[in-house]
Amino acid sequence: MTKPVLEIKDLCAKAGDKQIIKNLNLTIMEGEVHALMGPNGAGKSTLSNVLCGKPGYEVLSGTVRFHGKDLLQMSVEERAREGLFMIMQYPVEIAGVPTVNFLKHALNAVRKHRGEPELDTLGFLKIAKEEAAKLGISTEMLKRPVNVGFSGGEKKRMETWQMAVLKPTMALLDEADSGLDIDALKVVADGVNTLRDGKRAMLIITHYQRLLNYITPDVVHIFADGHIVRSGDKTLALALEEKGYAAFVNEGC
Amino acid sequence: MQNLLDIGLSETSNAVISGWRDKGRAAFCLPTPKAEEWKYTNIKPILSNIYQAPKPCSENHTTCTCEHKHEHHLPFEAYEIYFHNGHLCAHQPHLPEGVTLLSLEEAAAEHETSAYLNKSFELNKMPFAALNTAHLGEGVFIRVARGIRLDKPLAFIYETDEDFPLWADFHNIIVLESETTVDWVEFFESKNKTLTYAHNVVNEIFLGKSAVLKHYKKQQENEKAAHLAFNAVSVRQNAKFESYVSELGALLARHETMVHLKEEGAETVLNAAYRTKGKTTHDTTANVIHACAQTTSKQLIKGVLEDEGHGVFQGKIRIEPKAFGANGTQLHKALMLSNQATVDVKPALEIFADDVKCSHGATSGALDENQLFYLRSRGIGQKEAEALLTKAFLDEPFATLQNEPIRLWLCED
Repeated sequence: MTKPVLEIKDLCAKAGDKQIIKNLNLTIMEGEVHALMGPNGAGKSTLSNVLCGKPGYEVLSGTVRFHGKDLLQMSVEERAREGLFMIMQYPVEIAGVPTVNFLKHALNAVRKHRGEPELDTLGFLKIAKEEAAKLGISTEMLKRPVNVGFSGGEKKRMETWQMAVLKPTMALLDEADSGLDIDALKVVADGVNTLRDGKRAMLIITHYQRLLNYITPDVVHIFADGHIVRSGDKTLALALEEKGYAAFVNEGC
Repeated sequence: MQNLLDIGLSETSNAVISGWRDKGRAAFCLPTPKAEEWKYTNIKPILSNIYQAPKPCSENHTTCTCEHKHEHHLPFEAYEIYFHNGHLCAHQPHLPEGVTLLSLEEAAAEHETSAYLNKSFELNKMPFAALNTAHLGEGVFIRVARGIRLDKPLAFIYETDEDFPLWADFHNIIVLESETTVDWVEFFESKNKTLTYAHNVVNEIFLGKSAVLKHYKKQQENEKAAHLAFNAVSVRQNAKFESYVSELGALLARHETMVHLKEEGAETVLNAAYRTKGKTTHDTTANVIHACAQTTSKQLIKGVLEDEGHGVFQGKIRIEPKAFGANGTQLHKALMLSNQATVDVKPALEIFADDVKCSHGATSGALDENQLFYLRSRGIGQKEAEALLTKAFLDEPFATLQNEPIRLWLCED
């Protein structure tokens, strides 16, 4: 029997002083890929930040359960260890921290949480290099400091690699397509598709339909003014592309 | 309060050394915060002890002949020279031909020191160098003959395990003839955490034409120790002095460098990282003199300040009238991890020439919230994320080092 991975119920949240998320309801089951599409200002980034626990956002009411546990009570790192992974829109650069070193710490924190033995450097590098090779990432890139000097496309490729190494139970793609050329987009999409295994859940948050040409969603939601105004199958994304947000946003209110 | 001149030093029969001791006594005056160079670093905390001179090791011989086992192993091969409990140890490395190693006393007896000893600075402006001279007797004289590229670093290893408050002075002279290349390591460590002692070290360094000296220092004195170090460096044509310093220990530490870029094309890099904990003070003072055209200096100093730690950076760049085309840069960055920590930064540029490039900068701040969030969002705990970012911050002054074992050694806590 498939179980829910993420259950958002009547969520209201604010960023700074302003309420952005207004009575959001969304359930994603194991193996499902959902796309959440919305115009600028709909609250897409606020939603992904609230789900990841970024400081500066306040939940006013509602619940979020992740594998049945109260996600909102968890610290940022606990959410990650429980299996939530966000491909960030703008991955930060961290000078002085070699990428491999960083992800070894991360993987071992996750493994420890799962009750698995921690990996030594060699054991980690084996996994890291295997996954990197699939994504066309050189060993030299892994030695460089986290995201420093990488192009937008390379950063997203590295995010995809991190996801492949950490093997989360749910991936959250926050505007993963922004600033990407078509080749980089395909690499990210391929990486994401490889991780579709009938169990892992995904939420693709995006403004544009084009990423969905490469990752076919099971469910498409139109998100406006802090909540979902309409849900449908993948054809909804195409209709949206054709008619624009305005046609759907007013109808739902 | 004890007069530091009277620590009970043993007599010397060497006329050169006793002559300098007299000059040192005459020049010494304990610095107070009224002195401009000591305004931010108050030495009071280290003066509450009654210090004693090193115990004589054997009669008529100040060089340590004890069968002391040297337990400090550097994680790389080196020509190791030990300074133990205030004495130069008798055990000496087998140096390649062309490298002369003498004790300071031997060098003085053979008149090797006359061109170098206390020749690179003014005694009455440097109180602890004057005190060092008043206590003169221990140290080494090293000369590397023209054209030699030393295959392993020279390593000075300082150990102290006396059960009384030892005041230990060393005065070393390093002369690199032209076209030599040498790596030089200094390591200060105390395994016993409860000892009180002071290291007061003066290094005078003379670089001939096109000589390259790379200096790597790691200071891990214990938390009650005083660490006073002064490097005076003269750099001749196209020669280069690079210094990479990691200051981690001591109750009060001052690492002071004076570099005299004497001739055209002379260069220096003075990079340092320090970390203050508890109520410690770390003072990094640099004085770079561009005396000639096309001389270059670069400084990057980074400090992490925790608890009630106090950091001091004083950096002077002086560009003399003849030094057209000189290029001097200086940057100090502080990472403040506590509200009780303080940092005092005093940059000074004195420019007397046209057509020069000179800059200084100073920043201070906390850890970057976005970077912390990013690391945590991958499962790394708050404390571990902070430690990773702090280490990354401190490693930067050493990031360009090609010698990986030495770089890792400097970056290690």
